[in-house]
Amino acid sequence: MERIFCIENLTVVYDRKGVSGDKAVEDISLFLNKGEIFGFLGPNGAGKTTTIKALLGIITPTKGSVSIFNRKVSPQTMHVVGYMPEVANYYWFLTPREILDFYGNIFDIDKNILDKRVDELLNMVELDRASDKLLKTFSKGMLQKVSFAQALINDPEVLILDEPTTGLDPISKMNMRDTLLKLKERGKTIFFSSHELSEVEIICDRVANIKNGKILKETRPKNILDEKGNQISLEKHFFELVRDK
Amino acid sequence: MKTVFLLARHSFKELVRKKDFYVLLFLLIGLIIFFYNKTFFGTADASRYLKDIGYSLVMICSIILCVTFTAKQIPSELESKTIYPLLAKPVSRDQLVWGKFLGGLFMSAASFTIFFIVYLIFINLKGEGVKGILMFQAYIFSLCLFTLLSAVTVFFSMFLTLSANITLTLLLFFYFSWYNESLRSLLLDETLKMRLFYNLLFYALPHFEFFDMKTRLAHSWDPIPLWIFVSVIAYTLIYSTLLVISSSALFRRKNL
Repeated sequence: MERIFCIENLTVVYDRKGVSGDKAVEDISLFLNKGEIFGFLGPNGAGKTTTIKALLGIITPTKGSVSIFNRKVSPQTMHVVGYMPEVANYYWFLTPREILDFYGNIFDIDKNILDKRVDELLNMVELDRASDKLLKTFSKGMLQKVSFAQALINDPEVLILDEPTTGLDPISKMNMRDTLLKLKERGKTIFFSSHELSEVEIICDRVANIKNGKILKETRPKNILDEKGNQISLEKHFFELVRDK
Repeated sequence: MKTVFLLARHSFKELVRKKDFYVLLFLLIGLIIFFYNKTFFGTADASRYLKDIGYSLVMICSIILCVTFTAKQIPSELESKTIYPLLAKPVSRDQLVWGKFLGGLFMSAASFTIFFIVYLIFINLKGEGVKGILMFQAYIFSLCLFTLLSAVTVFFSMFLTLSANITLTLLLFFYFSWYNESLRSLLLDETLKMRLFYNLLFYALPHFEFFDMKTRLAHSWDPIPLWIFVSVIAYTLIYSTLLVISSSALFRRKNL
């Protein structure tokens, strides 16, 4: 199976004014195979976003390495990556169409292809009727939809989503879940962090639990249910795991 | 290079959609009309006063826009966290810094050009106008000033807060524009060692006074000799490039 990305012994320590601080993540190792949906679970401040930032090359690991398609993470490797951040703040003076156009141009996508893709994405996230309104007039949920659309603008091989369903209404959540499953069918690889454990349970092939910067357990949701004889939900298992450690 | 220009164009769009520029443009037109109708010292046709005051107003409005707009570029990306989706694309930190610098420069150049056209219309309506070559030199020197100011502001934004950056850049600008000569005379009483140190410091700081064409414009003096004109442009390009390269180096090491 083709390995899409690989995190080996990742440790990140944030320096504060030259003084070495606490370890945000410590000795994390993870890998992701092509076509997988991987759920990254953990309480607030566990190190999920730090891991994602290291994966995107936004922060440099203190120790360990991160690679995508066997190449060290760099701006060039980002051509195959789509990222949806935890906080969906975008340039308020732009419209969704303009923001998708701006990001699409960064990927150097041909104008005709880009125009078509922007229309498709706006249609997919049901923002086609608001496509020419300024983002400053958008609700949190609408911004989240823009955020999801921009992550797909380059038709990425690997999609990294940080709390993607935050602020979405139940129907939009269901639509996003369906879209993720369709992307998986097309061979895309998806890594996402979430608090929505029911979401993770339904769509993830594998999950990892992280707390205080360390991976507690990595498993398949199906295995948890088998282990416990279908008597426990992933949510309950997660609570037990986090509380015990 | 394409990415840098995309980022710069993006910043430029911000100017068009924000009210700051339009407010300053209307304020400038209002003030110029006010001075246009005024008779200075009882002389009805004293166009040089309009040239002097008008040019100062154009420069002040442009400088305020340049410094406040450029100073916000990187901090606002960090504060709103829009920097994360941007850096998760094929954009390096160096490209981001250069893009923001050029964005500030394009924005300042565009707003200054519009302000300058308004100024030229009014000084040509009242009195003698300005020689073409002098007007051209004043325009190019102003662009040089905004290049240097944008570079200084981007550099300070690497380690200063937004308000501290704006204050320090404007202080540096006004200090060098107004007290440049008196600063040198203060050195005369110092010891040789200290004089050497202060001289080095003096020349290392950005010399905004090089670009001041106000008096020359107001009194319609001769144009600046070509070698000085070219030297000032070269000074701007070298100084600004060094500042932006240093900013990139600092930004590469920044914890985001």
